[in-house]
Amino acid sequence: MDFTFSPQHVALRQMLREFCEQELAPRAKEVDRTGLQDPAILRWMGELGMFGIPFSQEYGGAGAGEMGYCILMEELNRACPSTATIIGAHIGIAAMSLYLDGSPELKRRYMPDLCAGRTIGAFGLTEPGAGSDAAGIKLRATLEGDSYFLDGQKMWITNGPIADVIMVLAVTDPALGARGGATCFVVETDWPGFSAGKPEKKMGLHGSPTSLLNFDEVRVPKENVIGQVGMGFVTFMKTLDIGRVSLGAATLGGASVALDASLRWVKARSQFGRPIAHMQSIQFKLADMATEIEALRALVYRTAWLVDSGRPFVREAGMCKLLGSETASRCIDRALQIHGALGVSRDFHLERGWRDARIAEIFEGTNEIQRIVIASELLQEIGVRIHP
Amino acid sequence: MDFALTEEQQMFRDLFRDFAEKEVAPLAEHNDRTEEPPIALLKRAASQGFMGATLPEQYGGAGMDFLTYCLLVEALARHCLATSAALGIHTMLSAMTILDAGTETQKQTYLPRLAGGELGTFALTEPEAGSDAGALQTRAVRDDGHFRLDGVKSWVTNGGPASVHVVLALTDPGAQRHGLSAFIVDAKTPGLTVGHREPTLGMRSLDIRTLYFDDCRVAADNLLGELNQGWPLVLRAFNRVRLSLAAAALGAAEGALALGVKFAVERRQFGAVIAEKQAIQNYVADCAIEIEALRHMVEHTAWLADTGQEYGPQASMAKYFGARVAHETANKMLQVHGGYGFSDEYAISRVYRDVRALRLLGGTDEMQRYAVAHDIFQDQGLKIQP
Amino acid sequence: MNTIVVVLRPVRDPAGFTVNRKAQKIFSNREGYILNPSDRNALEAALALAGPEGEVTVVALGGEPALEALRMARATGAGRAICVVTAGGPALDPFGATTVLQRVINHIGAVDLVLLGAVVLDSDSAQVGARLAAALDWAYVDQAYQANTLAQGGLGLVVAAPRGFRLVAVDLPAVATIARDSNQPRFASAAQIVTMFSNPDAVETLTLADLDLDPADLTAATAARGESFPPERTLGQTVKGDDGVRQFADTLPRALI
Repeated sequence: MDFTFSPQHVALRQMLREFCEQELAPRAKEVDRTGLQDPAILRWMGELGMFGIPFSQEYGGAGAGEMGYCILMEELNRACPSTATIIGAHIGIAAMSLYLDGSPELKRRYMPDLCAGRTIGAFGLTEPGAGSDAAGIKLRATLEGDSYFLDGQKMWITNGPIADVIMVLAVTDPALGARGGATCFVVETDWPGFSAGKPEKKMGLHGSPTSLLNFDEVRVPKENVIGQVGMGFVTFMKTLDIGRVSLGAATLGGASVALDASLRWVKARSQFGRPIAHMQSIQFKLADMATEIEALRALVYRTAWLVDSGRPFVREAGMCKLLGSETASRCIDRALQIHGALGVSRDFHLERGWRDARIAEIFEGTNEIQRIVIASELLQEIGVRIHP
Repeated sequence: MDFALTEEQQMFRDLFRDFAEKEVAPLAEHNDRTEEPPIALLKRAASQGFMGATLPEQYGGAGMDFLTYCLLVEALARHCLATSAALGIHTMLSAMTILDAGTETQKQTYLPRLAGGELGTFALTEPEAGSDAGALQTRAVRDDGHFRLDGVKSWVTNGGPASVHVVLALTDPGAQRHGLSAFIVDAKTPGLTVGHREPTLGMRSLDIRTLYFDDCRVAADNLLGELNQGWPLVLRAFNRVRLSLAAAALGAAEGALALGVKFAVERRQFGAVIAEKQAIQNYVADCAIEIEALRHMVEHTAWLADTGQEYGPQASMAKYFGARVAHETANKMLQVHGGYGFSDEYAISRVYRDVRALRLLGGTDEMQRYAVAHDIFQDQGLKIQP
Repeated sequence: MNTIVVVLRPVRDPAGFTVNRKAQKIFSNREGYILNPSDRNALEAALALAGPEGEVTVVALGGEPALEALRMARATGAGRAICVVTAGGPALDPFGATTVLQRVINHIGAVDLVLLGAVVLDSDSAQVGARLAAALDWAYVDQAYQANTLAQGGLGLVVAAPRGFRLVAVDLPAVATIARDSNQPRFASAAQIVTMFSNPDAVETLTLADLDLDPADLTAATAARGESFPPERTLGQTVKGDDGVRQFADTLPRALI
């Protein structure tokens, strides 16, 4: 077994680390305050290929695979979780659903611009009545002649307010419901009838705009179906599965940067006559953080390898997201405690990381759903079928 | 053992709950969003006797015992932890320290003002003296009929709107914590500058400041307690505020649990309300169990204080346990809310942000554990060091 | 303009060292290499000067760190990369490095400009540029901040002057060193990184024999005699009070000696 990263992945991480430290980290506080990342920065990131890192160069991507994508998410999340979330939703679920199941023509039409960041994508699944229970979606797509007419709402859509294209799951056959009768569509946001709501006010990830989406009889040509009619639920579930791996990588970045900050602080801060690094309570916290981060790192990058080598990865992907989100929350909370009062001060960066990290235990499938998915896989192997 | 509240205590509890629901709850979200200290609300609390809750009636206080006071703090904290903290620190650290060590003149001068709605602070922490509270550098030098104070105090709760500051300074630098003295300093004293306000993660309406003392002359009569006897005063103040914070944590945890339970019986997924899911039931049960245990700790500790018994170790335990229960409960109940838990439209994320500081102020988790262990090993004849 | 050559020197990453003045020792915490910072600025200057149509060739001497630096330079936009493999040969000092580089320049042919960073981080050496220009008998400009082609022909190099900057006009071919932090080095794109690091042909390798060089030709002209450390840092002095300014003025001359 060779546990080393390939030279291109090492070099990719080097470039990303430098870009993130130089350009993203210094702006993160302002992004949190204003709710906006500088469009010039997003354009620059697009020019450097960050919006299409895993996708093949044939479609304008960088060709770095799931491994490269995980490295990207780890590095971005170290510096600015809000920006990381914009890119994560764009690559990991929006463009990915098209990349996995779209026809070559549909991919040729949309992937190059998505990969270059010239267009931004969003993934429209969740609805007011359909959160964890994704099968409860109600947005309708009715076929009339050459077009489908989409009517309904999506909710909590990351990139909703800034997206140029939305990959939407809509019910095409109500009799079969979402599981057997839903279809994925590529919808352009300047088409008549589409509107995005105002950005939601959230506890964290202020720079990642999220909103309601309204579809009011939006006409979508039938060429814009991703994959097969009626198979949309499968496409979306596959997409979410693979998205979890990179989310695990993102949480790894958040946890790591909290450990790095703690190491600097415990050397610099003295109480009771010596640096607090000499306190056993502090030492044990640091050791626990480092151990959990190491375990997460091993899980995430091994799972990325499973994906890139075409092996089954669904259970491991759920584990990446579950372990990663809880590890990051624990590590960032420990870091906050280590920093004392500074940890709750908005003049310092830690509380922002603490607020930003919390959502990872909820979105992309709550951790309760992850546990159900993992248990389901385990029990299926012994012949027991469970329902949520 | 009689675990029941007296009739009077029950009556007070209902009064407090009523006040909290009618006056405090409607402002909670506004306080957080605008970050304005709820001065008008605190004045209304004063008119009810709440700002001098445990002060004797002869000084304008309500003469409450600690248990009744804890019921007050719990009721307020259930709806707005920041408001309960502003009141709690004002009462337990500022006003009660003057009651503890003040001369009759000092008590008559300051206590009615503090009971009447003026705010007080307790300025102990410094940039280099956090957990190591004894490592102060602020000096007070005797000069004729005055003391000259020089130094910086940080993280002073109520620092902006307060009119009375209780300040800890070194009068005998060589003796370290045995050379500390307490002073009562009027906010308008020349040489005292109120500085930068700390923007915080939670409890955003709490006005937390840095205070600068630059040749600040304080009358010798404003020495609070005996010269160089400040440290025992500080330790007694710590005990009081820890009990208060434990009660606040209890209230906040109860508030969070109520929010989560309400959401769980309303939100439907997979064809049923999510309260039908075992995972949700487990979260709710775990939180309820810990809250129950915390309530008993708070009541027992308050009873020890009210019956004149030693209660320091119990206060540390209750504060430590309470802060963690509040954090865990808010965290789990946020999870119950799903995506809505991350939204500003629902109160739970504010409660989650608010409670985090409980594990840091009034002595960090680590300092509480140290205090408890210190006490246990001292019984064995061993004096442990931080 | 014909080919611009940029010389790249990988150096030990300073983040991997701790200097302990008291123990008079350098502790190596972890081994890692970075590209010499001013060489990055030299590469950026070359790419900006050459534009999309121009030719930039990067050259480095050494083993794996040199190959990595060259690949990253290719990913950043250099059109050609040459690595002179020196493993097993003598350690090269500025004299030896110049000898090798002169042969490489001749091997490449049709070179108009050689750029390199003004100072090498780990050795504090700044000789190679001047020695190379002398060996090639080309014009030489040191510590340039900017390089532009001039309307009247030739190259304009902006250098620091006593009170600002001045423009030096130079006829090609020339050698110039580029000052550290004189520009913002561009990032390599993700796609180019993947391509250049997974393609073994991205970098050409030459041996000393390919350049008709014998290890004997490269014997060091200098020898290292040891290390000396700056004195241990001592606590500073605080001056206070109304005559603090006078105290400070009195103390300063002594402190500076």
